[in-house]
Amino acid sequence: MAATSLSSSTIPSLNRKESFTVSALSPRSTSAVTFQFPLRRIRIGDSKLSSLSSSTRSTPRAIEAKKQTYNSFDDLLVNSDKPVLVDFYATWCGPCQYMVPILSEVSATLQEKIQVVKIDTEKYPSIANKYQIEALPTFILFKDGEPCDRFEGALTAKQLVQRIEDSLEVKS
Amino acid sequence: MVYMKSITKYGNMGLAEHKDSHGAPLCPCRQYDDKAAEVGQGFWNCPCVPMRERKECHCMLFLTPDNDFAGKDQTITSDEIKETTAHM
Repeated sequence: MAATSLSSSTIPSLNRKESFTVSALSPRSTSAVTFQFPLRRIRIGDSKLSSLSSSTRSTPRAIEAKKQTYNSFDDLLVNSDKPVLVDFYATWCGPCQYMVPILSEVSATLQEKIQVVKIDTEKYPSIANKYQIEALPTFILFKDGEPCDRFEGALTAKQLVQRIEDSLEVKS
Repeated sequence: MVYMKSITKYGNMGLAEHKDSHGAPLCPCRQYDDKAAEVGQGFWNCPCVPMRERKECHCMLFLTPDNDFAGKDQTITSDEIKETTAHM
């Protein structure tokens, strides 16, 4: 997949009322995915990471965010071919920030099994309200578009992988 | 665990941001419908009721000594905070 880099001036404005940005970690490339609503589909590769890919292919490594657009969060869930782990976070929440590299690592480890998506609850309060998010971080694992597991608080990569695998095993 | 201090830095910035914007240091690790109402009500003003009553802090700002994440430092400078959070 060609990596294209866009300067910030070419990135469409995020200020529109229905715009929706989440960060998702995509298994098909070295990049994570940031979803931006509404309609426009933008793919921004990360040229820094692609230069590393040939030398570090054997070990899971950090996955960086990349942008895509979907019409809505529901659209994202429906169109996902894998279970989706959603991280509801806030910018200034310490444990949420602590989870950033851990989510990258878990996304790499479980890249065949799940897609990881992050939602900034300050930007998207309606989605946070829909799922009655209170404490942050809250993680919801969606399978076939429906929540199948939910837990709060920071945890280690190992604990998170275990929790996800246990949940998926029970439901499948 | 060098990055543990970053939890403190982000948390402090969150408290400061709420104090500046809403008049009280609302817990930064929660989702609120109406922050002004929450500030008035006070349950989640740091230190929040769970912290005051049961020493429970899910922001990981207040930790009992036996906690794995507990550090040795008791102080942090505003420079240290700015350094970690400058990119945000």
